[in-house]
Amino acid sequence: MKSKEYIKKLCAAAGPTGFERPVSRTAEELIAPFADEVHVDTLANLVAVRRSGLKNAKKLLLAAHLDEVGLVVTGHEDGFLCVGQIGGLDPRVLPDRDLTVMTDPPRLGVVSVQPPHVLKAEDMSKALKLSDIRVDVGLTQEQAVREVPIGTPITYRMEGFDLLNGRYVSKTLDDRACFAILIRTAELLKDALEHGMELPWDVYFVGSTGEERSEGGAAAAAFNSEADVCIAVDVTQASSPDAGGEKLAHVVTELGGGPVLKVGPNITKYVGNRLAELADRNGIPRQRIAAPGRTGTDAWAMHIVRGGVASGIVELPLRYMHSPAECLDFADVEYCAQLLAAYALDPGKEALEC
Amino acid sequence: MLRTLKKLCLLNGISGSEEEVREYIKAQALRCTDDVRTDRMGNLIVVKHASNNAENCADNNTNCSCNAENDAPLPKLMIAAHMDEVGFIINGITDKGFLKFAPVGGIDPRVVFNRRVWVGEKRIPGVTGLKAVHMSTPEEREEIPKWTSMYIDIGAKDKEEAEKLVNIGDCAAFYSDFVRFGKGDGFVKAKAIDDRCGCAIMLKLLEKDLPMDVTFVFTVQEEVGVRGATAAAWSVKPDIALILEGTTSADLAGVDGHKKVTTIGGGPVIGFMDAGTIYDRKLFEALRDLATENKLPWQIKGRIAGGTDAAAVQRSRSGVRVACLAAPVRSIHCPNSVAKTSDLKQCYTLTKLFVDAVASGRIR
Repeated sequence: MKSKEYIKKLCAAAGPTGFERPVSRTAEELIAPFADEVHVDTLANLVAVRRSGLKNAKKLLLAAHLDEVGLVVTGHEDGFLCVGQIGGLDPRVLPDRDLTVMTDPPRLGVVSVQPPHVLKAEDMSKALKLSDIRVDVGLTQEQAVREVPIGTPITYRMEGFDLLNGRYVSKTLDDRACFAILIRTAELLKDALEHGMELPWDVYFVGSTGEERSEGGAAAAAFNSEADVCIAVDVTQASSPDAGGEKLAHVVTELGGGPVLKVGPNITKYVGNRLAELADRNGIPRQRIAAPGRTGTDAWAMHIVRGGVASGIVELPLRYMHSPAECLDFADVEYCAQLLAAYALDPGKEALEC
Repeated sequence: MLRTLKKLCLLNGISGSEEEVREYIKAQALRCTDDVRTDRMGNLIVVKHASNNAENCADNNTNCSCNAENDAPLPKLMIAAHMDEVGFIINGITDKGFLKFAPVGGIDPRVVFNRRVWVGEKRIPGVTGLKAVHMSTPEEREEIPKWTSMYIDIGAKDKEEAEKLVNIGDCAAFYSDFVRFGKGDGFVKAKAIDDRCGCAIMLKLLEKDLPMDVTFVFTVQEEVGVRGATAAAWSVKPDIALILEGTTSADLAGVDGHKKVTTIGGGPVIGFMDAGTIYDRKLFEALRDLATENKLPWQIKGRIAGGTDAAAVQRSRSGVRVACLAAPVRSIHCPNSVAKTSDLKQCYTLTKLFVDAVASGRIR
């Protein structure tokens, strides 16, 4: 399966928010064979374009973000690193965690944890706060200050591996898996065009930056491209034994249940409805989640760029989001790509005329 | 020795399921001696006889090595390290195909989430789950979930599919790679350094010509109550036993003095007392003196805590004189334990010096 190769390569690159450039380069290499133009912009967004050849063509922009959550060195204590967070993560996943410290070359770090012998029983059931987290890099204080300066970013370190039924675990599937969906979409489009189909507009594939903090990269990309319709392709919560039930039913989806279409003020109706229609017409299973306000995706920023951009959101179900071991289902990956390709080829009258 | 340690740490051997580790060690040991047996509990008992250039007593009885100078019988020496590691046992499967589990041995519940694990002998890959940060409340994020609410995700569609691959009672082990890091690559991180480091030291000693007969015991089930060593000590009948271990180090940022328990890079930890054993004072002093004379750093634990196989061996039959040498290990019992290579090498050197001292009659 090719998507897995894309995902492996994309996830292997370290790129917490603000430090995405190495990922942008990997993304560029992978998508270039399916695009007419490729470039990396001021904010390190990767932009690949498939031209329709039409005069004054309308523009569709598909965005998946390249940045990932991580940590950053904020100080040193006895040779250990003190850290702050980049993006939102649960400090409960950190004790004894192996990490990649982004020095040149990168090095291993291990989050230290007080052994049970020196703790009170009640401490063992209490989570560590981020301010208590220290990272062991095997250095003295003097060496650490010199070799791993304040401001050095840190990422999770988890190579991808397969579970049963086409399910796959890795760090940073949020949102590199969705950029892999864009590559696969570009591949499907190329194939369709070679088989005589026509593109009704120019399609921009954007690997956006800064999503985990501000969605700033996608906004700049939408501005630069003067997009008419934008679709954010991002991950969404999938159920697990501790994430489900009545309390969370309104936010949780099923892994393997197909693309999730968000519905709410951030989604332009003629985009959202068309996506649902195309899914049904092509036998693609879909799920539906209501988003009453802020969606936490690039669409939130892109929607109000320039004079407004019609927007949609297509989401990939994901378990254990923002942890070092996120879990997806490859069937969902393929379905998402098929849906986006179908939309790019046949977006309906309103999208092309509005 | 580090190459052997790497191989050993990548094997799985949860208490009661040490087969993989034992088979590897057995194959290595058989290259050094023919006298290798596995007892009914699964302990691997390896006797390495004194090399030819060392003088032995006439009948070459394994229970009766003799000191060359005065022909007095040498004490019977046993060196032991445990093969087992902490891990999990599967104790349930949910309707949706997730696995429930309990810890085997002492595991800090704070280090269990979002880990790659192997389940069962077939090494079915799995991951321990925790719902995403977006869905937990601030109060939930302050508490560590209870063992009973934890689960392993193997990607199964439902209970039926999971049951085809996993049985109640299967073990699950942490997956963790072996990496050298830190200044001069002087540190290693891996799972199960406790006590594969002791096993690696014994395998290295087995390769050497030894001045006396030594019985090497690779024990099982240390982590669930020093059970293998209890049986092994009874059948081996040692006079002196040296236990090789990995021991707790809280040598971490902001931890001062004795609260560090042991110091990484501070050299071998010589046991004088822990929660299970008050070690033989003369053997403690002998190890201390050997280290000092040979300019090896050494240290003692700054806290009377933890225990070793010595607790069982000491009280075997009519009593055994016991000693312990341990390498300090950060995050012991965690998937990413950290040790310093200099400590491991010095533990080996001091063990070798100890064998020589017993053989020479210095330690009686």
